[in-house]
Amino acid sequence: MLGKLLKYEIKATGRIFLPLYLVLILFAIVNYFMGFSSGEFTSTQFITFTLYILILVGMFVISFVVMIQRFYKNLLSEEGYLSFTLPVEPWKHIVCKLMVSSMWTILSVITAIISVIIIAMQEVTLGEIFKGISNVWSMMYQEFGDKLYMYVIQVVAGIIVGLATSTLILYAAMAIGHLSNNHKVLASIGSFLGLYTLGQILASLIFLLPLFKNQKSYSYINSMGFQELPAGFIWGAIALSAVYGLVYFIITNHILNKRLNLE
Amino acid sequence: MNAILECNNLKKSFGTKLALAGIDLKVERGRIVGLLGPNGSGKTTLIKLANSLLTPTEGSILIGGKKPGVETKKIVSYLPEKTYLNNWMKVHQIIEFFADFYEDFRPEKAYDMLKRLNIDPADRLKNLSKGTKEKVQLILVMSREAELYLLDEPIGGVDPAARDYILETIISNYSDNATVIISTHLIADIEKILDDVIFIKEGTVVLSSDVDSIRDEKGKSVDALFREVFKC
Repeated sequence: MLGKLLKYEIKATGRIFLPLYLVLILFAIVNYFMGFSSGEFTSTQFITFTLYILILVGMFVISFVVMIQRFYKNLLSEEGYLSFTLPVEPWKHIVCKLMVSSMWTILSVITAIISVIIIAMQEVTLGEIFKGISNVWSMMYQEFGDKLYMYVIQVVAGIIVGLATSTLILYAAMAIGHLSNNHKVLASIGSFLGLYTLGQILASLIFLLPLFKNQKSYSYINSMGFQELPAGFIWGAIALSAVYGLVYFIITNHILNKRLNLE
Repeated sequence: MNAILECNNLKKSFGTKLALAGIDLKVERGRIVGLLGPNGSGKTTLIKLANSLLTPTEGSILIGGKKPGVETKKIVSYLPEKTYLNNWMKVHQIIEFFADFYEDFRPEKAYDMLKRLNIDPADRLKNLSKGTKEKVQLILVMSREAELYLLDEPIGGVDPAARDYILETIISNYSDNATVIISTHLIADIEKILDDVIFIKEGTVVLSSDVDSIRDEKGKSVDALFREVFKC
């Protein structure tokens, strides 16, 4: 059933994102042919480039809006009457929405990168771009050695976990806000601020308290550069973020299961 | 055979407000039941509890012996009083959607009813009038071969001609073993199709009986009895 939910979620959102990606790529191609980079901007070049930037920014704004709107509209407003009477466990709805919205965020980033490469191609060839990337990589490898692979894994894990957690905190905030009978939107915003603040305070306590207890290690950490930061610290931060995500998921799932309050 | 719907001391409160104040009820299979009561008497709350859109505060509600959940959703076909259609699908797409999720959904039945009511399967849901949306929802709900149909105010928003067709549809589309529960306050319109009635008032069942014995013993129509029981 999760597969069927995913299919319809992708259909419902794809009709927004696919045309958007197409337009962005088209504008990148237009900018490529306008050739603005050599010398000064003409006014047409300025306009097409501004439009490109607007579409690029708009794409990320829309990703964010669609993420919120799909969850709120499809589950917590009138469409919820259908969604929650399908023979599907509520947690699958959350997982489905999370997976599809993360997918579009990642695809938006990839499309943005492709569009930048297209525009850059009027100055440099594709081969030169890849050569540049591999140069940067080998420079970093000289600096960090085999640790570089670990950093890359950490960055990827951090992005995936961060994306999921920052989506789930919004779902949890909307679910809590929906318990209010009169001011659902206001309550959702309040819940978000509450959850966020609570998370920050807890994280500070968890990471800083042990350091303050031991003055010596505090000044030791302070004197270190990024390179010397213990690997455990980054992994700890990613794990904590994952725990937060899990808690937000449990809150959302509990409300959808036991405290649903459709109008 | 077990009852299709059973409530034992079922209570539901919203904050301090008691919406259902201890309902005991047994609905058998193969019946058309009118769930009758004035606005705010708890009809919708009861139906939402049966669909697990709400969770009981106390007591229990069972569908075919099971607590509301994924298994009961497979056998319950529910028509809410709200319009739950999204705005991006076409009529034929929502039919495919239903066929995908409900094993007991019969698309040919749905297309047949759409034709009878002159609704174009290629129309976008968002362009339909409110009444047409209600008709589409009813068609979707009645095209399932469910064991229990829960219809919350199914005829409230449509014109009298469509109303007749819809009632006819309800009667002709359910099998002998299935039960249809219709919540409404438009009693006169549906009286003739009912086997049983449940009167609900301020969250309690005040009467649960079959229609024939109301007519025989009290010498009254359900409509007249309703006016008497719920006299303001």
